[in-house]
Amino acid sequence: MFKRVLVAVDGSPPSNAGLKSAIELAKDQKASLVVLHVLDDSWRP
Amino acid sequence: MFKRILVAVDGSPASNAGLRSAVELARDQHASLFALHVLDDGSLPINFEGTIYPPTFIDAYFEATHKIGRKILDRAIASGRGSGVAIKPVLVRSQGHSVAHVIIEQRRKLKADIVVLGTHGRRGLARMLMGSDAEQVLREASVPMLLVHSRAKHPSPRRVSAKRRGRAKIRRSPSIDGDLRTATPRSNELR
Repeated sequence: MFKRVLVAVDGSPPSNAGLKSAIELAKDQKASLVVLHVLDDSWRP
Repeated sequence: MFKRILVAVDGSPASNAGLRSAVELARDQHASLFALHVLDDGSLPINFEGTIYPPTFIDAYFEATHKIGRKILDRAIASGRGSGVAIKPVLVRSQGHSVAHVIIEQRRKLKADIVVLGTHGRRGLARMLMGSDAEQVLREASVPMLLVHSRAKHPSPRRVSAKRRGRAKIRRSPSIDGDLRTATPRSNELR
């Protein structure tokens, strides 16, 4: 059903929970898994 | 991975998108699929003594909403049958609670291991008025959720969210979305 799974991570406990689910989902679906971390520079003037 | 799937339906285009994905997921996972319709009586002060609504009005309201709810679930069952999935209908009254609260409660009762919701993803005032159910369920659900936009392409839902308790809200910004796409070359992908 899903071919490509995207998971956003930031190292936090909830993010790790999301990552675990994403790995499980990708395994179940034999899908590729993309792990995304955003370097947030929105504070820059 | 999923054995029992719960999808909430209200007959709207967004809800139909969620239903389609739920049926597809149930088929993929060989899972049981429960379709829940919540009869929202939150606007009626039925639980108060001395309500200003006459009993005949309340009876008629209950009867009418029950009929509509039944019809929505019958249509859901029919669309599931068309795809070879047997849907178990669940029709409950909110009894003064929010729809999100009832969905979470029924999720627990039915022991569903994923909740599928269609969402219109409106922003601003419209979102405040009508888009908060999915968000509230998302905040409080202790199982993964699949959120499907009414504009998502089928059979592959574009917006997927597997979340657990205590997570921050997801906000979508078209402009940021666009920036990210250009800022992320394919070579960054891990496999």
